[in-house]
Amino acid sequence: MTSVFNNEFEIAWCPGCGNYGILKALKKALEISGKKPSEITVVSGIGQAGKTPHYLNTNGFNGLHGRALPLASGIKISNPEQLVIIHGGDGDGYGEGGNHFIHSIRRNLDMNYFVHNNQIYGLTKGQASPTSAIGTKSGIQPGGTIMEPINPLKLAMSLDCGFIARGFSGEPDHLAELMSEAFAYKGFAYIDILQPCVVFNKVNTFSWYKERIYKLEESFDYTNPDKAWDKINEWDKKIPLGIIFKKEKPEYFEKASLVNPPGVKNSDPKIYWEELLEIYK
Amino acid sequence: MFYYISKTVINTLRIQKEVITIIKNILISGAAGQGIDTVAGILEEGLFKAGFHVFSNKDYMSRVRGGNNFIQIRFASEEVYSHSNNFDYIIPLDTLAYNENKNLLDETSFIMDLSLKTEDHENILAEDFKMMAKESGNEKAITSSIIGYLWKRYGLDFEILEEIINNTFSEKLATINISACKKGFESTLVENQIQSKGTSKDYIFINGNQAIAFGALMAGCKFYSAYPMTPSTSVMNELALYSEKYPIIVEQAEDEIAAINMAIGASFAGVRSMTGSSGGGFSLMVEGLGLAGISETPLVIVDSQRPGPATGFATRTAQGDLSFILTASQGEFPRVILAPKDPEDCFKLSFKAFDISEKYQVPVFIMTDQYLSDARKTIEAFEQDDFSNKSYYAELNNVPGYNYERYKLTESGISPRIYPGQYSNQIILQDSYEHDEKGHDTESSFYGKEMMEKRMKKLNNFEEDIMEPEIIGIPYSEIMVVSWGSTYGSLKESIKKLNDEDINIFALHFNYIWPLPQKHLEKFCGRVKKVITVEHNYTGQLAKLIKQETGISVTDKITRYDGRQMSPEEIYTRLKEVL
Repeated sequence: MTSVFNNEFEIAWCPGCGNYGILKALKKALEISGKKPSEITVVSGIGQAGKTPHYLNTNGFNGLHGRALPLASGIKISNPEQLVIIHGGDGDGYGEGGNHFIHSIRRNLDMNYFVHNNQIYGLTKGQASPTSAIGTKSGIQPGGTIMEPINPLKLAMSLDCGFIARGFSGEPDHLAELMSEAFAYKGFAYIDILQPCVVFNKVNTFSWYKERIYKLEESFDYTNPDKAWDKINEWDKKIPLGIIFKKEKPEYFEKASLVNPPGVKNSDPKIYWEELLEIYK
Repeated sequence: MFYYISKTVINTLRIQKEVITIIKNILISGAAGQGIDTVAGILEEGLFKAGFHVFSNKDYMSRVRGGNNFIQIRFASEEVYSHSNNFDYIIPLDTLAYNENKNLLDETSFIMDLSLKTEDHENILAEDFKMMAKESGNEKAITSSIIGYLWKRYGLDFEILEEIINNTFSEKLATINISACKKGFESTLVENQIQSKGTSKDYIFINGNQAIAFGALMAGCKFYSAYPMTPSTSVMNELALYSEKYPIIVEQAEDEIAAINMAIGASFAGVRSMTGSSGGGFSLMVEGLGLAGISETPLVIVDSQRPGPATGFATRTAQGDLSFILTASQGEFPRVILAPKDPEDCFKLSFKAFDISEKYQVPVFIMTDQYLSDARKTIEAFEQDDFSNKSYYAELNNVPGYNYERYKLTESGISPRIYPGQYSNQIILQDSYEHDEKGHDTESSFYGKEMMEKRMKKLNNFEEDIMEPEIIGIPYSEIMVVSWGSTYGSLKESIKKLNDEDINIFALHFNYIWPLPQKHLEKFCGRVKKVITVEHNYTGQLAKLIKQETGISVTDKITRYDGRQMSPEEIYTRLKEVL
């Protein structure tokens, strides 16, 4: 597909990686958004998902492991015209940067947080991640991990995140729809994207997901928290995809109600010089 | 007895008054929560409004109630550079405060003992003040009675005090406090009429952290993110105050890691940004510092030092972070370190830090400490014309769409920089990985070498911005002192005193620390026989840096690392010991 969002940089993901589906979905959603590349900033941390900004013709900042959310928050606060999209992974976002996930939900900036959740550390070669099932074996968990997995949707729900969705890399069109909904949502929109890791995750494979995933019906009432909790608790046998919870909430700038919001436009702050001196006189 | 002062001392003081600038010095000491901030605030504000040069500093414990805190207020008709431990009045507000400060009392001290009961003093005056406050409607207004008393002793205009008290308290409390103050004022006679030069109009009265905040706002800083940590928090408080009216956003981050990453994001997005903390918080920021370094994102970082490591002394002062900040982060990248010497310099260097950071696309540190952060000083109001803001965003001509290169290799190493959305047909990509000119990650040997060299040469032309250390005293003397940052005031007074005694000595005082200015060092070091460092750390960190960069060895180290700032008297005495 020709797209203004394509670039020629060589993709370093493994053949068959779920990330290709996610990238495809993202480009589709960006096309639908009608935004120009200059109006979009894609931010990431480190991990396979962290490479995403390199494969897109948009503004981008590939930052530190786990720190994409605060990096993106500074960008959105200072240049609110930008459509800000954060791509992270389960190790990056739920492990190293878990604290930022909590507080980004509380801050509620109008940003989009898409987590490539493959339940394994890919880039460091196959260690258990915060979403790995108990018993997941790896080089450093030879007897299998004894840590209980995080259900990140539960975490988001407990923090009253205003937009919670789950997508699947094997369903890029559906995922693109979710991304478009996320872009349209005013506030912190979060999508946990399930994705097979073809090299290291031998349990949660493409066929494992295919057997379990189903799309929520259009009639599903995602404004009802009780129903959302029910869906969030589904996992072992059936895994729902779609918007699971959504509610209107005042976003950051509505809450902050700044008299004199800064922004990137240059204004000479020296016009306030004398006024400021008066404070100290 | 409620005070102790000998007649001979009074006479000596009177004689001295005619020949030298008289500097008055008051110490107010009490428990946290007892209101010493309010008393001191009214007094120092009043003295400033009365036209004096005022210098005040705080010493406080890491607790919200109880303990012993004190504030020193020094004032004169001429500029006052530092605190001092010679007091005219010591006002202990409780027994603990009295006992804590006993060692500071000498024959020149005038002790007003308000403690409930001490071995040496009955509290006739304290009882009187208490009565005045009680009659005015609230025993707690006792401190206002004391202020009134002092005000009269100095022969100052009561109306100034009245106005400040009115502005400090709610209407009801103001009435009580003014009444208590008036009773104190009327209870005594003028003992020591002092004259100011009426300077308050063109002067401001500001502490180090306020001045950093002020400088930042005027430099166009539009974003400050931090996590509260004493003694840096007041930078955030001040900027938050500004954000109610002026174009700046202050974000309290969930931790210092988030704080620095947010500030980097803001800078990338197109605004000038700053973060700040004390050493412990900065320790968490170190990885983010590296990100600013490799991604070449302009960033200003305030480190208000306190003794460490770990939690250390939470509310005390130190200059122990220099060696750490010089090399913080893995790998190598250029950085600039500035260390203001007083509140005026805090403003100037804060303003300058943003310019340097954006010009060279490097992180810039403002290293202050608890003493300077909290020290409030009368200074001349900054003149707008002395400061100009320059934008360094590039104007792109003839760059085909989507061909902009964030890390273009240039002769100076500095690449044209734009922000997202500046050009509708360009994008900007930044990277924490080693990268190519477009900002894409790379593992090539070519870019590994080129990008390192590009970054490291960015400060090759820093000479055009560098400031050589200030020379204090008689240059070309055989004894040279080197010092940096907040020790300036005390050092300046002590050098002057030594020079007045015909001792030939001078100091080079550094406020630009890194890259290390070397011209003055080279110029003077050939003639000196002794090089003495004065620093608030154990190892002599500036001394080590000077040795490393110039080979000049420090012969004597005067250091203090107990969290307390050296007074002019202490530096004077200790310099004499090593001369």
